[in-house]
Amino acid sequence: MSAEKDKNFEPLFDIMGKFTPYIYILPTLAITSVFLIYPFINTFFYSLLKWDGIGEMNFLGITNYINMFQDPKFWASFSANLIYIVMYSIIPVIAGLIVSSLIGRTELFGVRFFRTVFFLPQVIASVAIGIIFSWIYSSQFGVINQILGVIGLDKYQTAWFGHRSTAPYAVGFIGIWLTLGFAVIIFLSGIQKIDESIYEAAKIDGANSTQQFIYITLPELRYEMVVVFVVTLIRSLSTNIFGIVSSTTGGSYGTRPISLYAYELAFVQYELGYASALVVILVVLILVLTQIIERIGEGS
Amino acid sequence: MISKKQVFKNLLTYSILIVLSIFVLIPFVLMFLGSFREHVNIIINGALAFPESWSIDNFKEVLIEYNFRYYFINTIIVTVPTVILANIFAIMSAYALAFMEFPFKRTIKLFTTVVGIMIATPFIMIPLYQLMARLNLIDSYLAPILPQVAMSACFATMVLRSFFKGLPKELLEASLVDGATSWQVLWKILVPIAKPAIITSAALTTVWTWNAYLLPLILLQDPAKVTLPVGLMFFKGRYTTNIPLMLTGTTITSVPMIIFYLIFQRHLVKGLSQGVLD
Amino acid sequence: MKRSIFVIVVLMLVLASIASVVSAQEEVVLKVWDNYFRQANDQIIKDAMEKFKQKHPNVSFQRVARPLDDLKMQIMAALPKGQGPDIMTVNNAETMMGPLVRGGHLLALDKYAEEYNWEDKILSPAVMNRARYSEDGTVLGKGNLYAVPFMGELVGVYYNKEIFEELDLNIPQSLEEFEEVLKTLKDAGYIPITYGGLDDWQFFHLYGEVLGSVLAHDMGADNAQEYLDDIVLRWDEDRSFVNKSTQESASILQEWVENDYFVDGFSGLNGDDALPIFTAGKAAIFIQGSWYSGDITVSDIEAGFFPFPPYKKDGKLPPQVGGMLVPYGISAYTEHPDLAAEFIDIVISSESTNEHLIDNNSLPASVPVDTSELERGTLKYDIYTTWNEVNDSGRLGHYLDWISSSMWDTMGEAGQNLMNLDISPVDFVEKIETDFRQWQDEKPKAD
Repeated sequence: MSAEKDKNFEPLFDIMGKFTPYIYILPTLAITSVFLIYPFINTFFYSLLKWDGIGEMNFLGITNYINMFQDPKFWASFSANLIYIVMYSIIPVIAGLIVSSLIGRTELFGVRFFRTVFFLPQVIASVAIGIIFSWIYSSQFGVINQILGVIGLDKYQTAWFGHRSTAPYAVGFIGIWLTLGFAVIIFLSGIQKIDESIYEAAKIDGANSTQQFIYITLPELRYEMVVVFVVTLIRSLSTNIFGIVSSTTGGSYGTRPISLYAYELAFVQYELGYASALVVILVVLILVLTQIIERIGEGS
Repeated sequence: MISKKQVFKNLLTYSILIVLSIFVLIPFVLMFLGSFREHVNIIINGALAFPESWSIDNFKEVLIEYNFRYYFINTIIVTVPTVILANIFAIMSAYALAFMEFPFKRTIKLFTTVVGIMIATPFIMIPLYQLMARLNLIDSYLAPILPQVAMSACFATMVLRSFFKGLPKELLEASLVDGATSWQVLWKILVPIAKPAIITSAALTTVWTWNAYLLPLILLQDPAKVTLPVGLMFFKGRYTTNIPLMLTGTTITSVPMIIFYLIFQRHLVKGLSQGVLD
Repeated sequence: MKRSIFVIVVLMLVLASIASVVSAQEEVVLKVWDNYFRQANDQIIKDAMEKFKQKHPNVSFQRVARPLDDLKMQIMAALPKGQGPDIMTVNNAETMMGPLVRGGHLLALDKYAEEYNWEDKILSPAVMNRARYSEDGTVLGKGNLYAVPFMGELVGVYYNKEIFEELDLNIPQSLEEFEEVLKTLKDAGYIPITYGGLDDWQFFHLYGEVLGSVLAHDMGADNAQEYLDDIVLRWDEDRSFVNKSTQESASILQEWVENDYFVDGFSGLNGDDALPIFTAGKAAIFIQGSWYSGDITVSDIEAGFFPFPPYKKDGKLPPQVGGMLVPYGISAYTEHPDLAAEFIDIVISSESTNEHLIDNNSLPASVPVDTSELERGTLKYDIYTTWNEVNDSGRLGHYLDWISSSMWDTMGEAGQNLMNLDISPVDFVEKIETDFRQWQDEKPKAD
């Protein structure tokens, strides 16, 4: 099979000739364009305005963007986001790879149970996550402080949500809890398609399980790794983290991500123009990062 | 014959899994216990105490007085079409993106994957409302469904495309040589093989649609059309939260999703081998 | 012949128009959007709707009751399109009312205030000013009336009576006595004050109470009230937040932190966590609002309530933080403004409204509250006598986050830093002042 043919698959272009791919892509592209991209173009337009979201609009040009780079609150939220990228995205991807390779190919007793357990965090509304983790981290009666007390590490008891030195990491840790399962689930579905005979051949060649993981599982899962990385990265920057932070610390003590700051600007302070500028920058940031990941991961 | 090494390995695997499971499950235990408590009991005894009885009064109150039994139906009405449409759309677009070459592919791929996932609802709330108002869809179930389909389709496209990309090309070539059309190849050959990935993306899009909060909040104003996540916010006041009812509501909201996953997860294994060997 | 045809046509037209008026009357639907979904308040609205329907059988209601933040987004999305409700809750000042007035989306209610005599019925004219804006929406605190509340809010000091009796403590009459009480409590091994520092608003209330007391001492109670009105309501650029009183209030709080008067780890607790520490009898004092009195009443402890004491023992009540519950306003796009106003009047002035409120330890906007039937020595009695006293003397202070649209954020963060001893009282006051000065540039201005 030549590389040329591999790329093109001529026989696939059968329904509408060279327009065939567009037929397949049309439903998704159309609905995305109308209901996501078109409104977002409006958001971009708002970012050039001084507008409270209700009254009259005044054209500002790029002033909002200039102000943003001089706004210490923006930079504070930016650095919170950096922590969340590590704890919502990078750590779960690595841990997820390890866990899923442990349970992906074995017929261990109880695999289904573990798989269900890892799915569980996906089903809970973020308001409830907020309440429960407030109990876990509480300075007065929290689970963590109680455990520390029992094992004699009283001196490490602290108000986890109540200091700049701990709060962003405490919130980030919730991200590991939440996204680890997501990573495991996607990796598990990917592992199913790896041909078992490749592993058998490697075993005959004397490869131990670590080597099998590095030379077979990892490369075979590269597309899944891109998916998990991209999705968790987006969630760490936009929606997901937003719900978690607002229901736990409310953004205090250096925990406020850009998305929450933008939301508060828009709907608490009525700075819809400025908030839109933040959103636009956030989206550009996500685009750049995800494109880098895709280039590296899929090696194009 | 099980070697010593194998036993040790299994033991290690189990201990890692058990520790991680406990880590994941603790919050659920707290939620479950909390949903049986009384608000007064939390006020008096604080957050971490056992329920004084296993009464199901909270569940009755949430389902009946807080109308969660109706919210259930509303949420199903929003979720089912969203998930079905999104995943059908995604199967088609992922197919094109994975196996076909065409002009503007790179841009189109961006618009049907990453862009759709990253444009989160809060970013487009006001313009989206205005669009829906112009289309006269406010208070119609279609209003939250359409953008949710777009977001879910983009996510599912991404998952399915990555799955398709990893498949051996010989598979496709063999069937095309047999004279099947591209449409038949997709639905008769690829979809059965991709079952684990489709189930996975369906499960995740279901859960996210089920828990979507802002779209139904803004676009469905009719109190008869409240969905479960919007209903949960009724337990949160300006200054105080009715924690037990909130946890009960969350339990009620999440249990169907857990059951749903339990039913479908048996399809998660061995999609490929079945598809190829049959 | 022609004439008779003409007469018949005219008659038919008249009949048709009467019929259309009658049928239009039958079709009136009032849309009401509010955040009164909790039991007692919900019942108040439902009762008022029943009463209204008896008078106007042709009117039906379509009500949306949602949490305020949710409702606010719905209103922001719908109202500027000329859609949405006829009647809605409009939170005060720049949190909602200002932008809506400037957009021209709210109806001025002065005509109805006069017709239904609202100024006499509810709160005091001074307090009602908080729902006034100039017509262009650039000046808060005077001009047209845009909303009316049926309930008030008040912050004060809850205390555990059993602990006070055990330690032989009396209700403190001055700040000095208050601090002595704190010290006694601390020495006896109790947590003197429970406090949820993770919620921004808990700080506004705590600091606001201390500030009222210090200000009243430094400049006299009347001037203190006026100073607060100038800064919080009128955004008066000639006023400054940097002064001896604001700084001293901040240092008092830091002293309390240094003396360990607050619950351990308060910076990581939210309001929902802070309350049980009081109701479990571990903490003796909780400086918070009237909205907690229901929860405190159902707990096992016996609690009382007193206004935050004056600086020196002079018997003069300093301004107490408080205000009105999110009030009702009317959409500028309503087709039935008269009916809407009549409905609001029924909500405010029904006897059943006050009965429901008092049953639930909530503060009626219609004052004074009749306390003669209440049992002395109960929490309820304490709260209503304080509420009457505050209204009578015109000492209802302010929520400090109204100072500017970004003050919630600024003071929230500065307050947390102050309480964690990360910044000095001088720095704290500077941060508030910087925000206030910035607001002078950004605040809405008349063209």
